[in-house]
Amino acid sequence: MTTAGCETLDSAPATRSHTSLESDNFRDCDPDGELVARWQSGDQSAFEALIRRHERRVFGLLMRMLGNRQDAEDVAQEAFLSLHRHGHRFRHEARFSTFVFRVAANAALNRRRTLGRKNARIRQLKLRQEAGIDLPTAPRDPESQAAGAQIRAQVQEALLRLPEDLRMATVLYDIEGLSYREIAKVLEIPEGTVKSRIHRARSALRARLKGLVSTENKGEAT
Amino acid sequence: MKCAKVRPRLGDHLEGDLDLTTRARVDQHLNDCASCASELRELRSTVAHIRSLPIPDPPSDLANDVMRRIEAGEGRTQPFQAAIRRLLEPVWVAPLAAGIAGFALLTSIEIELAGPPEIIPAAPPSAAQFASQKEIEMWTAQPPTFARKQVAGPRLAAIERNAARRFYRPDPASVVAGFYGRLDPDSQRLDLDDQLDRAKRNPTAFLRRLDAITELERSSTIAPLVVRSARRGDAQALARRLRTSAHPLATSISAQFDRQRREPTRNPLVVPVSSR
Repeated sequence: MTTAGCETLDSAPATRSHTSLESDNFRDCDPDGELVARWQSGDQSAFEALIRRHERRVFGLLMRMLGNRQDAEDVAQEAFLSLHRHGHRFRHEARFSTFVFRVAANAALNRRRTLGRKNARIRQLKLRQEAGIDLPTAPRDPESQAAGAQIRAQVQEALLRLPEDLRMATVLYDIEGLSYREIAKVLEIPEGTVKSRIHRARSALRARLKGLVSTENKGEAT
Repeated sequence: MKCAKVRPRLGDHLEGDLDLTTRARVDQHLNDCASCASELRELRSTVAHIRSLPIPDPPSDLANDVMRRIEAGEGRTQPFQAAIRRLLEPVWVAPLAAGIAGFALLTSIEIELAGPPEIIPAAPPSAAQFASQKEIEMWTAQPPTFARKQVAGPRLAAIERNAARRFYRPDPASVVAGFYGRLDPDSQRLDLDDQLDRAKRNPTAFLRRLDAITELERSSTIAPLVVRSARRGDAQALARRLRTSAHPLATSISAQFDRQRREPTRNPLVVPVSSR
Protein backbone atom coordinates (compact mmCIF):
# COMPACT_ATOMS: atom_id res chain seq x y z
CA MET A 1 0.00 0.00 0.00
CA THR A 2 1.26 3.43 -0.82
CA THR A 3 0.74 6.40 1.41
CA ALA A 4 -0.68 9.49 -0.26
CA GLY A 5 2.09 11.72 -1.48
CA CYS A 6 4.52 8.84 -1.71
CA GLU A 7 5.71 7.76 -5.08
CA THR A 8 6.59 4.15 -5.36
CA LEU A 9 9.50 2.57 -7.17
CA ASP A 10 7.78 -0.77 -7.08
CA SER A 11 4.73 0.13 -9.15
CA ALA A 12 4.23 -1.78 -12.37
CA PRO A 13 5.13 -0.14 -15.67
CA ALA A 14 1.47 -0.03 -16.67
CA THR A 15 0.54 2.24 -13.79
CA ARG A 16 3.72 4.09 -13.07
CA SER A 17 3.19 7.00 -15.39
CA HIS A 18 0.08 7.93 -13.44
CA THR A 19 1.68 8.06 -10.03
CA SER A 20 1.27 11.41 -8.35
CA LEU A 21 3.63 13.30 -6.18
CA GLU A 22 1.88 15.69 -3.88
CA SER A 23 4.43 15.99 -1.14
CA ASP A 24 8.17 16.33 -1.23
CA ASN A 25 8.74 14.87 2.19
CA PHE A 26 9.23 11.11 2.05
CA ARG A 27 10.37 10.58 5.59
CA ASP A 28 7.17 8.92 6.72
CA CYS A 29 6.41 6.76 3.75
CA ASP A 30 9.83 5.62 2.61
CA PRO A 31 10.12 1.86 3.16
CA ASP A 32 13.83 2.43 3.80
CA GLY A 33 13.18 5.24 6.26
CA GLU A 34 13.77 3.23 9.41
CA LEU A 35 16.98 1.63 8.15
CA VAL A 36 18.27 4.97 6.91
CA ALA A 37 17.57 6.58 10.29
CA ARG A 38 19.40 3.75 12.10
CA TRP A 39 22.34 4.00 9.73
CA GLN A 40 22.52 7.78 10.02
CA SER A 41 22.66 7.40 13.78
CA GLY A 42 25.67 5.11 13.46
CA ASP A 43 24.32 1.57 13.01
CA GLN A 44 26.48 0.01 10.28
CA SER A 45 24.40 -3.18 10.15
CA ALA A 46 21.52 -1.01 8.90
CA PHE A 47 23.69 0.09 5.99
CA GLU A 48 24.48 -3.53 5.17
CA ALA A 49 20.74 -4.26 5.18
CA LEU A 50 20.22 -1.32 2.79
CA ILE A 51 22.85 -2.73 0.43
CA ARG A 52 21.17 -6.13 0.43
CA ARG A 53 17.82 -4.50 -0.25
CA HIS A 54 19.02 -2.51 -3.25
CA GLU A 55 21.92 -4.54 -4.65
CA ARG A 56 19.83 -6.42 -7.17
CA ARG A 57 18.40 -3.36 -8.86
CA VAL A 58 21.63 -1.42 -8.71
CA PHE A 59 23.52 -4.33 -10.19
CA GLY A 60 20.87 -4.78 -12.89
CA LEU A 61 21.18 -1.13 -13.87
CA LEU A 62 24.96 -1.32 -14.00
CA MET A 63 24.95 -4.54 -16.02
CA ARG A 64 22.70 -3.01 -18.65
CA MET A 65 24.67 0.24 -18.69
CA LEU A 66 28.16 -1.22 -18.75
CA GLY A 67 27.54 -4.45 -20.61
CA ASN A 68 29.72 -6.80 -18.60
CA ARG A 69 29.74 -8.36 -15.19
CA GLN A 70 33.24 -7.42 -14.14
CA ASP A 71 32.71 -3.68 -14.61
CA ALA A 72 29.25 -3.88 -13.07
CA GLU A 73 30.63 -5.57 -9.95
CA ASP A 74 33.41 -3.04 -9.62
CA VAL A 75 31.15 -0.04 -10.11
CA ALA A 76 28.47 -1.50 -7.80
CA GLN A 77 31.02 -1.61 -4.98
CA GLU A 78 32.15 1.92 -5.74
CA ALA A 79 28.55 3.12 -5.86
CA PHE A 80 27.72 1.69 -2.44
CA LEU A 81 30.94 3.09 -0.98
CA SER A 82 30.07 6.47 -2.43
CA LEU A 83 26.60 6.11 -0.92
CA HIS A 84 28.21 5.44 2.45
CA ARG A 85 30.40 8.52 2.12
CA HIS A 86 27.65 10.87 1.01
CA GLY A 87 24.53 9.27 2.47
CA HIS A 88 24.61 11.49 5.55
CA ARG A 89 23.54 14.31 3.24
CA PHE A 90 20.34 12.46 2.38
CA ARG A 91 17.47 14.57 3.73
CA HIS A 92 14.38 12.65 2.59
CA GLU A 93 13.59 15.05 -0.27
CA ALA A 94 12.92 11.90 -2.27
CA ARG A 95 12.80 8.22 -1.52
CA PHE A 96 16.06 6.69 -0.47
CA SER A 97 15.84 4.30 -3.43
CA THR A 98 15.83 7.32 -5.76
CA PHE A 99 18.98 8.55 -4.05
CA VAL A 100 20.55 5.10 -4.47
CA PHE A 101 19.72 5.09 -8.18
CA ARG A 102 21.17 8.57 -8.57
CA VAL A 103 24.45 7.48 -7.03
CA ALA A 104 24.54 4.31 -9.13
CA ALA A 105 23.64 6.17 -12.32
CA ASN A 106 26.40 8.70 -11.72
CA ALA A 107 28.88 5.92 -11.00
CA ALA A 108 27.92 4.19 -14.26
CA LEU A 109 28.17 7.40 -16.30
CA ASN A 110 31.52 8.28 -14.71
CA ARG A 111 32.86 4.86 -15.52
CA ARG A 112 31.68 5.09 -19.11
CA ARG A 113 33.23 8.52 -19.53
CA THR A 114 36.49 7.34 -18.09
CA LEU A 115 36.75 4.34 -20.26
CA GLY A 116 35.45 6.10 -23.35
CA ARG A 117 35.61 2.80 -25.10
CA LYS A 118 32.14 2.02 -26.22
CA ASN A 119 33.37 0.11 -29.22
CA ALA A 120 35.83 -1.88 -27.16
CA ARG A 121 33.00 -2.80 -24.81
CA ILE A 122 30.90 -4.04 -27.66
CA ARG A 123 33.76 -6.11 -29.01
CA GLN A 124 34.35 -7.47 -25.53
CA LEU A 125 30.68 -8.30 -25.19
CA LYS A 126 30.76 -10.15 -28.46
CA LEU A 127 33.77 -12.13 -27.36
CA ARG A 128 32.16 -13.00 -24.07
CA GLN A 129 28.97 -14.03 -25.77
CA GLU A 130 30.88 -16.18 -28.22
CA ALA A 131 32.63 -17.75 -25.26
CA GLY A 132 29.24 -18.31 -23.61
CA ILE A 133 30.23 -16.31 -20.51
CA ASP A 134 27.47 -13.74 -20.40
CA LEU A 135 24.68 -15.80 -21.84
CA PRO A 136 21.48 -15.33 -19.92
CA THR A 137 20.04 -18.43 -18.30
CA ALA A 138 17.20 -20.61 -19.24
CA PRO A 139 14.74 -21.90 -21.75
CA ARG A 140 13.67 -25.48 -21.99
CA ASP A 141 15.16 -26.96 -25.15
CA PRO A 142 18.64 -26.24 -26.48
CA GLU A 143 17.38 -24.84 -29.76
CA SER A 144 15.12 -22.22 -28.21
CA GLN A 145 17.77 -21.59 -25.60
CA ALA A 146 20.27 -20.71 -28.30
CA ALA A 147 17.72 -18.62 -30.19
CA GLY A 148 16.61 -16.81 -27.04
CA ALA A 149 20.18 -16.10 -26.01
CA GLN A 150 20.99 -14.81 -29.46
CA ILE A 151 18.05 -12.44 -29.43
CA ARG A 152 18.91 -11.15 -25.96
CA ALA A 153 22.52 -10.66 -27.00
CA GLN A 154 21.30 -8.71 -30.03
CA VAL A 155 19.07 -6.51 -27.85
CA GLN A 156 21.84 -5.94 -25.30
CA GLU A 157 24.27 -5.01 -28.04
CA ALA A 158 21.77 -2.57 -29.54
CA LEU A 159 21.34 -1.04 -26.07
CA LEU A 160 25.09 -0.64 -25.67
CA ARG A 161 25.31 1.17 -28.98
CA LEU A 162 22.86 3.84 -27.83
CA PRO A 163 24.25 7.16 -26.59
CA GLU A 164 24.56 6.81 -22.83
CA ASP A 165 21.93 9.44 -21.95
CA LEU A 166 19.33 7.62 -24.05
CA ARG A 167 20.42 4.24 -22.74
CA MET A 168 20.23 5.36 -19.12
CA ALA A 169 16.69 6.68 -19.59
CA THR A 170 15.39 3.56 -21.28
CA VAL A 171 17.13 1.17 -18.85
CA LEU A 172 15.63 3.03 -15.87
CA TYR A 173 12.19 3.07 -17.47
CA ASP A 174 11.86 -0.22 -19.30
CA ILE A 175 14.12 -2.49 -17.26
CA GLU A 176 14.14 -0.97 -13.77
CA GLY A 177 10.51 0.13 -14.01
CA LEU A 178 10.89 3.70 -12.71
CA SER A 179 8.34 6.36 -13.61
CA TYR A 180 9.15 9.45 -15.66
CA ARG A 181 9.09 11.50 -12.47
CA GLU A 182 11.41 9.18 -10.62
CA ILE A 183 13.85 9.15 -13.52
CA ALA A 184 13.71 12.95 -13.63
CA LYS A 185 14.72 13.00 -9.96
CA VAL A 186 17.44 10.38 -10.42
CA LEU A 187 19.01 12.11 -13.42
CA GLU A 188 18.11 15.62 -12.26
CA ILE A 189 16.59 16.58 -15.60
CA PRO A 190 13.06 17.73 -16.52
CA GLU A 191 10.38 15.08 -17.01
CA GLY A 192 9.84 16.21 -20.59
CA THR A 193 13.48 15.45 -21.32
CA VAL A 194 13.14 12.00 -19.78
CA LYS A 195 10.16 11.25 -21.98
CA SER A 196 11.84 12.47 -25.12
CA ARG A 197 14.99 10.46 -24.36
CA ILE A 198 12.97 7.30 -23.88
CA HIS A 199 11.14 7.83 -27.17
CA ARG A 200 14.36 8.58 -29.01
CA ALA A 201 15.99 5.52 -27.49
CA ARG A 202 13.12 3.32 -28.60
CA SER A 203 13.16 4.68 -32.12
CA ALA A 204 16.91 4.10 -32.34
CA LEU A 205 16.55 0.59 -30.93
CA ARG A 206 13.75 -0.18 -33.36
CA ALA A 207 16.01 0.87 -36.22
CA ARG A 208 18.88 -1.25 -34.89
CA LEU A 209 16.66 -4.28 -34.30
CA LYS A 210 14.87 -3.81 -37.59
CA GLY A 211 15.60 -7.32 -38.81
CA LEU A 212 14.26 -8.85 -35.62
CA VAL A 213 11.15 -6.78 -35.02
CA SER A 214 10.05 -6.50 -38.64
CA THR A 215 10.10 -10.30 -38.98
CA GLU A 216 7.96 -10.64 -35.89
CA ASN A 217 5.77 -7.85 -37.14
CA LYS A 218 5.13 -9.68 -40.42
CA GLY A 219 4.25 -12.83 -38.50
CA GLU A 220 1.90 -10.86 -36.28
CA ALA A 221 0.28 -9.00 -39.16
CA THR A 222 -0.50 -12.14 -41.14
CA MET B 1 -4.36 13.26 -39.22
CA LYS B 2 -1.27 12.86 -41.40
CA CYS B 3 1.63 10.45 -40.91
CA ALA B 4 3.96 13.30 -39.97
CA LYS B 5 1.72 14.18 -37.03
CA VAL B 6 1.00 10.59 -36.02
CA ARG B 7 4.55 9.22 -35.88
CA PRO B 8 5.86 11.51 -33.11
CA ARG B 9 2.84 10.45 -31.04
CA LEU B 10 3.32 6.71 -31.36
CA GLY B 11 5.50 6.57 -28.24
CA ASP B 12 2.79 8.24 -26.15
CA HIS B 13 0.19 6.01 -27.78
CA LEU B 14 2.17 2.97 -26.69
CA GLU B 15 2.29 4.20 -23.09
CA GLY B 16 -1.38 5.24 -23.01
CA ASP B 17 -0.34 8.84 -22.47
CA LEU B 18 -2.51 10.41 -25.22
CA ASP B 19 -5.70 12.21 -24.34
CA LEU B 20 -8.84 10.47 -25.59
CA THR B 21 -9.48 12.80 -28.52
CA THR B 22 -5.95 12.55 -29.88
CA ARG B 23 -5.90 8.81 -29.30
CA ALA B 24 -9.10 8.38 -31.30
CA ARG B 25 -7.64 10.39 -34.18
CA VAL B 26 -4.38 8.43 -34.11
CA ASP B 27 -6.29 5.14 -34.00
CA GLN B 28 -8.33 6.21 -36.98
CA HIS B 29 -5.15 6.98 -38.91
CA LEU B 30 -3.63 3.64 -37.89
CA ASN B 31 -6.64 1.83 -39.34
CA ASP B 32 -6.02 3.44 -42.70
CA CYS B 33 -2.21 3.59 -42.79
CA ALA B 34 -0.34 0.28 -42.94
CA SER B 35 3.04 1.98 -42.64
CA CYS B 36 2.27 3.75 -39.33
CA ALA B 37 0.51 0.66 -37.98
CA SER B 38 3.58 -1.37 -38.81
CA GLU B 39 5.82 1.17 -37.06
CA LEU B 40 3.69 0.97 -33.94
CA ARG B 41 3.87 -2.85 -33.94
CA GLU B 42 7.64 -2.70 -34.34
CA LEU B 43 7.96 -0.21 -31.49
CA ARG B 44 5.80 -2.45 -29.30
CA SER B 45 7.93 -5.43 -30.20
CA THR B 46 11.13 -3.46 -29.46
CA VAL B 47 9.85 -2.49 -26.02
CA ALA B 48 8.88 -6.08 -25.32
CA HIS B 49 12.39 -7.21 -26.15
CA ILE B 50 13.99 -4.61 -23.89
CA ARG B 51 11.68 -5.48 -21.03
CA SER B 52 12.34 -9.20 -21.43
CA LEU B 53 16.06 -8.79 -20.79
CA PRO B 54 16.76 -10.79 -17.64
CA ILE B 55 17.85 -8.97 -14.50
CA PRO B 56 21.11 -10.64 -13.54
CA ASP B 57 21.81 -11.77 -9.99
CA PRO B 58 24.32 -9.59 -8.17
CA PRO B 59 27.45 -11.30 -6.84
CA SER B 60 26.60 -13.09 -3.60
CA ASP B 61 29.38 -11.37 -1.67
CA LEU B 62 28.73 -7.80 -2.85
CA ALA B 63 27.41 -6.56 0.51
CA ASN B 64 30.21 -8.33 2.42
CA ASP B 65 32.87 -6.87 0.16
CA VAL B 66 31.48 -3.36 0.53
CA MET B 67 31.28 -3.70 4.32
CA ARG B 68 34.86 -4.98 4.44
CA ARG B 69 36.04 -1.96 2.49
CA ILE B 70 34.08 0.35 4.79
CA GLU B 71 35.73 -1.29 7.80
CA ALA B 72 39.09 -0.77 6.10
CA GLY B 73 38.38 2.96 6.08
CA GLU B 74 37.00 3.52 2.59
CA GLY B 75 33.55 4.57 3.73
CA ARG B 76 32.54 7.74 5.49
CA THR B 77 34.83 8.68 8.34
CA GLN B 78 33.60 10.23 11.56
CA PRO B 79 34.16 14.01 11.74
CA PHE B 80 37.07 13.78 14.22
CA GLN B 81 38.75 11.07 12.11
CA ALA B 82 38.37 13.25 9.03
CA ALA B 83 39.91 16.21 10.89
CA ILE B 84 42.91 14.12 11.96
CA ARG B 85 43.27 12.77 8.44
CA ARG B 86 43.24 16.30 7.03
CA LEU B 87 45.93 17.37 9.46
CA LEU B 88 48.11 14.48 8.36
CA GLU B 89 47.74 15.19 4.68
CA PRO B 90 51.09 15.69 2.94
CA VAL B 91 49.92 19.07 1.75
CA TRP B 92 50.46 20.23 5.35
CA VAL B 93 53.34 17.97 6.19
CA ALA B 94 55.57 18.89 3.28
CA PRO B 95 55.77 22.69 3.78
CA LEU B 96 56.10 22.14 7.51
CA ALA B 97 59.02 19.79 7.09
CA ALA B 98 60.57 21.99 4.43
CA GLY B 99 60.48 24.80 6.97
CA ILE B 100 62.17 22.58 9.49
CA ALA B 101 64.74 21.58 6.89
CA GLY B 102 65.44 25.21 6.17
CA PHE B 103 65.73 25.93 9.86
CA ALA B 104 68.17 23.04 10.22
CA LEU B 105 70.26 24.40 7.39
CA LEU B 106 70.41 27.88 8.83
CA THR B 107 71.25 26.81 12.35
CA SER B 108 73.23 23.66 11.52
CA ILE B 109 71.12 21.84 14.06
CA GLU B 110 70.19 18.24 13.34
CA ILE B 111 66.48 17.85 13.84
CA GLU B 112 64.85 14.50 13.72
CA LEU B 113 61.12 14.30 13.76
CA ALA B 114 59.57 11.71 16.02
CA GLY B 115 59.91 8.33 14.41
CA PRO B 116 61.65 5.02 14.80
CA PRO B 117 65.41 5.53 14.64
CA GLU B 118 65.86 2.78 12.08
CA ILE B 119 63.97 4.84 9.51
CA ILE B 120 66.06 7.98 9.92
CA PRO B 121 69.61 7.62 8.65
CA ALA B 122 72.09 7.34 11.50
CA ALA B 123 74.83 9.45 9.92
CA PRO B 124 74.13 13.14 9.38
CA PRO B 125 74.26 14.08 5.72
CA SER B 126 77.26 16.00 4.48
CA ALA B 127 76.94 19.67 3.64
CA ALA B 128 77.14 18.84 -0.07
CA GLN B 129 74.01 16.74 0.26
CA PHE B 130 72.00 19.61 1.62
CA ALA B 131 70.07 21.80 -0.74
CA SER B 132 69.65 25.47 -0.09
CA GLN B 133 66.59 26.69 1.73
CA LYS B 134 65.50 28.53 -1.37
CA GLU B 135 65.68 25.39 -3.41
CA ILE B 136 63.69 23.43 -0.88
CA GLU B 137 61.05 26.14 -0.82
CA MET B 138 60.88 25.99 -4.58
CA TRP B 139 60.55 22.24 -4.43
CA THR B 140 57.67 22.44 -2.00
CA ALA B 141 55.96 25.20 -3.92
CA GLN B 142 56.16 23.62 -7.36
CA PRO B 143 55.71 20.18 -8.75
CA PRO B 144 59.08 18.44 -9.10
CA THR B 145 58.64 18.16 -12.85
CA PHE B 146 58.50 21.95 -13.08
CA ALA B 147 61.27 22.45 -10.56
CA ARG B 148 63.49 20.12 -12.55
CA LYS B 149 63.60 22.60 -15.39
CA GLN B 150 65.30 25.05 -13.07
CA VAL B 151 67.52 22.75 -11.04
CA ALA B 152 70.09 20.33 -12.37
CA GLY B 153 69.50 16.58 -11.86
CA PRO B 154 71.92 15.82 -8.99
CA ARG B 155 70.85 19.01 -7.26
CA LEU B 156 67.21 17.97 -7.53
CA ALA B 157 68.05 14.63 -5.99
CA ALA B 158 69.66 16.46 -3.09
CA ILE B 159 66.58 18.61 -2.65
CA GLU B 160 64.29 15.64 -2.67
CA ARG B 161 66.48 13.73 -0.29
CA ASN B 162 66.68 16.60 2.15
CA ALA B 163 63.18 17.93 1.98
CA ALA B 164 61.60 14.53 2.00
CA ARG B 165 63.57 11.45 2.88
CA ARG B 166 65.62 13.08 5.58
CA PHE B 167 62.69 14.42 7.52
CA TYR B 168 59.78 12.17 6.85
CA ARG B 169 58.16 9.04 7.72
CA PRO B 170 56.60 6.85 6.62
CA ASP B 171 58.15 7.57 3.26
CA PRO B 172 59.15 10.44 1.01
CA ALA B 173 57.08 8.89 -1.74
CA SER B 174 53.96 9.96 0.10
CA VAL B 175 55.15 13.55 -0.03
CA VAL B 176 55.73 13.47 -3.76
CA ALA B 177 52.48 11.59 -4.23
CA GLY B 178 50.75 14.35 -2.31
CA PHE B 179 52.16 16.93 -4.69
CA TYR B 180 51.10 14.90 -7.63
CA GLY B 181 47.65 14.58 -6.15
CA ARG B 182 47.90 10.84 -6.35
CA LEU B 183 48.03 9.86 -2.72
CA ASP B 184 44.38 9.05 -2.29
CA PRO B 185 43.52 6.32 -4.78
CA ASP B 186 39.81 7.10 -4.48
CA SER B 187 40.01 10.79 -5.18
CA GLN B 188 42.04 10.07 -8.27
CA ARG B 189 40.27 6.83 -9.09
CA LEU B 190 39.46 7.77 -12.64
CA ASP B 191 43.00 8.73 -13.51
CA LEU B 192 44.35 5.62 -11.86
CA ASP B 193 41.94 3.41 -13.76
CA ASP B 194 42.94 5.09 -16.95
CA GLN B 195 46.63 4.59 -16.21
CA LEU B 196 46.10 0.95 -15.31
CA ASP B 197 44.15 0.34 -18.48
CA ARG B 198 46.90 1.98 -20.50
CA ALA B 199 49.45 -0.20 -18.74
CA LYS B 200 47.45 -3.26 -19.73
CA ARG B 201 47.14 -2.15 -23.31
CA ASN B 202 50.77 -1.22 -23.76
CA PRO B 203 53.00 -2.39 -20.90
CA THR B 204 56.23 -1.33 -22.59
CA ALA B 205 55.07 2.26 -23.08
CA PHE B 206 53.96 2.32 -19.44
CA LEU B 207 57.35 1.06 -18.25
CA ARG B 208 59.15 3.48 -20.53
CA ARG B 209 57.24 6.36 -18.95
CA LEU B 210 58.20 5.11 -15.50
CA ASP B 211 61.80 4.81 -16.62
CA ALA B 212 61.87 8.47 -17.60
CA ILE B 213 61.18 9.80 -14.10
CA THR B 214 63.27 9.78 -10.93
CA GLU B 215 63.21 6.82 -8.58
CA LEU B 216 61.36 8.88 -6.00
CA GLU B 217 58.69 9.90 -8.49
CA ARG B 218 58.44 6.32 -9.67
CA SER B 219 57.73 4.93 -6.24
CA SER B 220 55.09 7.59 -5.70
CA THR B 221 53.49 6.75 -9.02
CA ILE B 222 53.46 3.02 -8.54
CA ALA B 223 52.13 2.95 -4.98
CA PRO B 224 48.58 4.18 -5.59
CA LEU B 225 48.40 2.21 -8.82
CA VAL B 226 49.12 -1.12 -7.14
CA VAL B 227 46.61 -0.36 -4.38
CA ARG B 228 43.96 0.53 -6.91
CA SER B 229 44.73 -2.49 -9.01
CA ALA B 230 44.50 -4.82 -6.00
CA ARG B 231 41.13 -3.29 -5.20
CA ARG B 232 39.93 -3.77 -8.75
CA GLY B 233 41.13 -7.34 -8.57
CA ASP B 234 43.34 -7.23 -11.63
CA ALA B 235 46.76 -6.89 -9.97
CA GLN B 236 47.73 -10.40 -10.98
CA ALA B 237 46.59 -9.87 -14.57
CA LEU B 238 48.57 -6.64 -14.69
CA ALA B 239 51.67 -8.26 -13.25
CA ARG B 240 51.41 -10.97 -15.89
CA ARG B 241 50.89 -8.41 -18.64
CA LEU B 242 53.88 -6.33 -17.51
CA ARG B 243 56.10 -9.40 -17.50
CA THR B 244 55.44 -9.83 -21.21
CA SER B 245 57.49 -6.69 -21.83
CA ALA B 246 61.23 -6.89 -22.42
CA HIS B 247 61.79 -3.57 -20.67
CA PRO B 248 64.38 -3.75 -17.84
CA LEU B 249 61.82 -2.49 -15.31
CA ALA B 250 59.31 -5.21 -16.18
CA THR B 251 60.32 -7.67 -13.47
CA SER B 252 60.58 -5.24 -10.59
CA ILE B 253 57.35 -3.38 -11.38
CA SER B 254 55.32 -6.53 -11.99
CA ALA B 255 56.63 -7.89 -8.67
CA GLN B 256 55.09 -4.90 -6.91
CA PHE B 257 51.66 -5.67 -8.37
CA ASP B 258 52.07 -9.32 -7.39
CA ARG B 259 53.10 -8.42 -3.86
CA GLN B 260 50.11 -6.12 -3.43
CA ARG B 261 47.79 -8.87 -4.63
CA ARG B 262 49.19 -11.28 -2.06
CA GLU B 263 49.09 -8.72 0.76
CA PRO B 264 46.20 -6.39 -0.06
CA THR B 265 46.36 -4.67 3.35
CA ARG B 266 50.01 -3.69 2.90
CA ASN B 267 50.63 0.02 2.47
CA PRO B 268 53.07 0.34 -0.41
CA LEU B 269 53.85 3.91 0.60
CA VAL B 270 55.65 2.54 3.63
CA VAL B 271 58.90 1.19 2.29
CA PRO B 272 60.57 -1.40 4.51
CA VAL B 273 63.87 -0.20 5.96
CA SER B 274 65.81 -3.04 4.38
CA SER B 275 64.79 -2.02 0.88
CA ARG B 276 66.01 1.58 1.22
